Amino acid sequence: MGAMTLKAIATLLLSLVIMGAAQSLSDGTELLLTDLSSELIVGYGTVEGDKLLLNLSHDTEGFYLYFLLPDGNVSAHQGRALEDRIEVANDAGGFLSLSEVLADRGVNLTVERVNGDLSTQPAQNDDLLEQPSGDSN
Amino acid sequence: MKPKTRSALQPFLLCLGLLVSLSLTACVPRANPNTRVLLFSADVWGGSPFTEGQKRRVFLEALSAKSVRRLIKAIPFELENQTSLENQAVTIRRFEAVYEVNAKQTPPLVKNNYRLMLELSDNPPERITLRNTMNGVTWSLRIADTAN
Repeated sequence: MGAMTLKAIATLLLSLVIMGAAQSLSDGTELLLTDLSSELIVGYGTVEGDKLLLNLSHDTEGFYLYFLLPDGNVSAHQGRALEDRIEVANDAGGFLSLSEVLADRGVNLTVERVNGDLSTQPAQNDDLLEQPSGDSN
Repeated sequence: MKPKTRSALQPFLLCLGLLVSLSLTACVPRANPNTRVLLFSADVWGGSPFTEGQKRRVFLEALSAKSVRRLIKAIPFELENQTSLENQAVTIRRFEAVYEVNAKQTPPLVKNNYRLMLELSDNPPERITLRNTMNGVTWSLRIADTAN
């Protein structure tokens, strides 16, 4: 069995795990990415028809990826953003292309890089703080 | 013919409900006009005290419930360089770290803050020096610039 065949099987298995066997990726499915500390929303997109436009923060490297299905189910996966692609971890410890995983479910992924995170609310009173005189943090 | 018990009870139940409402209203604590609630980013106080696992679990719970979930942890602190008079002029009711995920909206709103609740006397000092004793981070806080 060639390496390409193994990769195809692994991709299929991951997509089955993510979306559920024999289910198409429904319109309205949301894809959400946070940084590894779960403090920043670094990516977000919604499936519309056969397309998913993912807005992704420029600074993203490692992340957690959540699929929010229209039926309310949520699945979580670790992933990483490389220069030219986004990858999702599989159970064997390897990584698979998110584009390929989604393509197997009939969805074309487009990634648009954006500046900053997507929804974290800034704190309001940091400007009231000053270094104490004769001391430093 | 329907029994008249229900209609006879209605005025009594209305009065009882009114009394309960008035009693509960009287028990609600009045907001102190000199109370200040300030929010700071977690980074300025040395970062979030919660583990990645705790935050990830809360994040997933909020998503699954399409609701708000939070972690709150009281932070030990000291007021530094305060005279006894100033200590009486400022009371710190709460100093706590708050991690909150609001998944009622999409994408969710994540707050990662330290929250400080102060009560000021009528003549508070211009500033206080507050030390997070968990990590030693210390800041001078300009009380005079806080608004109601």
